[in-house]
Amino acid sequence: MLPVSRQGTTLAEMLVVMVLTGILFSAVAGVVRHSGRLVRAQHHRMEVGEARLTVRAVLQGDLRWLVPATDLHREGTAALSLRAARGVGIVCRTGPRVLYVRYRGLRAPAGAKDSVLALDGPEAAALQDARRADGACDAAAGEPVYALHLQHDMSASAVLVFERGAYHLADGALRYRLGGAGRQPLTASLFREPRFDPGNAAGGPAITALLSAPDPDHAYPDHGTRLTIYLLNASAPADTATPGARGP
Amino acid sequence: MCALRTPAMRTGIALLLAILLLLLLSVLATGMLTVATSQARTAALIQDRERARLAAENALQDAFAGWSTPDHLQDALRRGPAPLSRRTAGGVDVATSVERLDTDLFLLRARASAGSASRGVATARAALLLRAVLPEQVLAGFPAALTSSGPVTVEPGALIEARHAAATAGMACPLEAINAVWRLFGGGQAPAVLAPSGAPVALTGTVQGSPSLRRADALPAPPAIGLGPVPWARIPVLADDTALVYAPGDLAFPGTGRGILVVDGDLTLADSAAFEGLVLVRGHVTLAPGASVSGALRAGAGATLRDGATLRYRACTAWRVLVAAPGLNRAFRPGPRWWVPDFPPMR
Repeated sequence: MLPVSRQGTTLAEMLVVMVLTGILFSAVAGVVRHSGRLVRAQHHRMEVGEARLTVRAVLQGDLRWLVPATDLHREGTAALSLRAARGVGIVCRTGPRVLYVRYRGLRAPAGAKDSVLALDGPEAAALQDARRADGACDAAAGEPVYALHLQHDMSASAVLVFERGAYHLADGALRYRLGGAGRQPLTASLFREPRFDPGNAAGGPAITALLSAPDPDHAYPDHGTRLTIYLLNASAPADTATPGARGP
Repeated sequence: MCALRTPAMRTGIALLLAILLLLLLSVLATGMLTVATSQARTAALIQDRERARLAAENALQDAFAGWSTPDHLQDALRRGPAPLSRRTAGGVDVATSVERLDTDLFLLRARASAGSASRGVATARAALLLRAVLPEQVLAGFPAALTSSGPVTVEPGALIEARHAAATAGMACPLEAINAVWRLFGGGQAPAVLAPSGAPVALTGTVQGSPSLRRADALPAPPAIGLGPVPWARIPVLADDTALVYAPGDLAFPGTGRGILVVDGDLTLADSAAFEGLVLVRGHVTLAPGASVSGALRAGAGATLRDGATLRYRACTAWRVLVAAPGLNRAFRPGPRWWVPDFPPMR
């Protein structure tokens, strides 16, 4: 009689397999969990990086040309009211309460929301209406001429067309508000307790934007971002500007 | 006996696992490559944008530093930007242009582009508003042989003579100077003395002009007077340039000189001292016997011409020293707002 063939595994073999499998699975799970945190941290860093770039580009683009004492006002710790340049016009003809300008800008001047500031003087006036007036004076090919109808007479060789807007740091994001309109978010809601501070940079008072975006998982605490932007050497940040008020 | 296994008996998932693993790795590698490429491209674009911006602003600073007003006096008003310079350095192409917005107001523009067609070209624009100092503007600040905001005494034996440029025939007077004087004085002679109403004026010497004495309701106070559009605060900056002598306090001038003399205090021209050109004094001026000024004189706190002193209005002389003063050929910031945004033409 042939002996019964004992195919299969012994108990010891089973145990070894189970232990090895457990070790393998726990290692894989650890790697996967770690990878997930790494990916989330990396994603967070990228988001913060993009937000920083946006903040820098937007603020630099709009604040670079301002004269702080007259163009920039801090509203509490959450908002920065400013004259946001939207175009420049070279005055080529004048009339009663109207300036004809050769115009270049981000957009066409709009009577409903824009104001006009003399570049070679202190005068400013709210814009009542702006209409294309090609042919009113000589201009280069493709260069539009606009008739800027103003609240009052103004003497200027060149004018800045601007809108009164405000940058807000609210709900963790940088937002832009035009006049009294709603706040448009420009970045993701990443920043914790952001605020504008009357900082004290070398050379005089400054307005600083404090933006902190710690890693939510605390996996890489060193990679949390705290961004301090020295905006301008503003001589005296005024808290008296009326939020949403339109006017030069 | 070990029988060969048929394909049907080949169980296992090694091949499948290998393919899946390869696919997974490919997806991961592609993703990482895409992210890395995208980040590198973004970083390069940001760097190019910064380089372009700096290049544009530097080009404007260069144009400002090398500015010479006489080079642009013939520019037409508001005729659009005229090319000023173009250069390529470090892969950044920068072009500048200038447009005359008003008689003395200029707009410099710079456009810089960096990058390549393959990764994208970043452009930046900037503009700078400059105010030039024109000789006529400075000359207009000397509307008489002697302009004084305070009391004037011309002792017996002293002489004030005012003649306009056309009367100085025989001298090589620039046509611009003659035209400027014609515009300033309406073709007639210049006044000999201009003083505010109510200021004590004693003209016992010889005073020739048209008129001899003109009264003005209000002349600018000493702190407000300057070299035409150049205020006092700017004048010390110009002092490094030749042909402009600046004294930060009282000055006793003993010799001879030519150019523009600015004194932030009282001035005394000693015996036989002679000066040709423009003299601007914040305080009181005294011309000792034998002292002479040929050009024009303006005093903030009064003037005294002693016996034998001479003051002659010479527009041509004044014009020549103005043109020869390098400091006045430079441009200035017109006010707090001189960096202005520049936008591309609208489509």
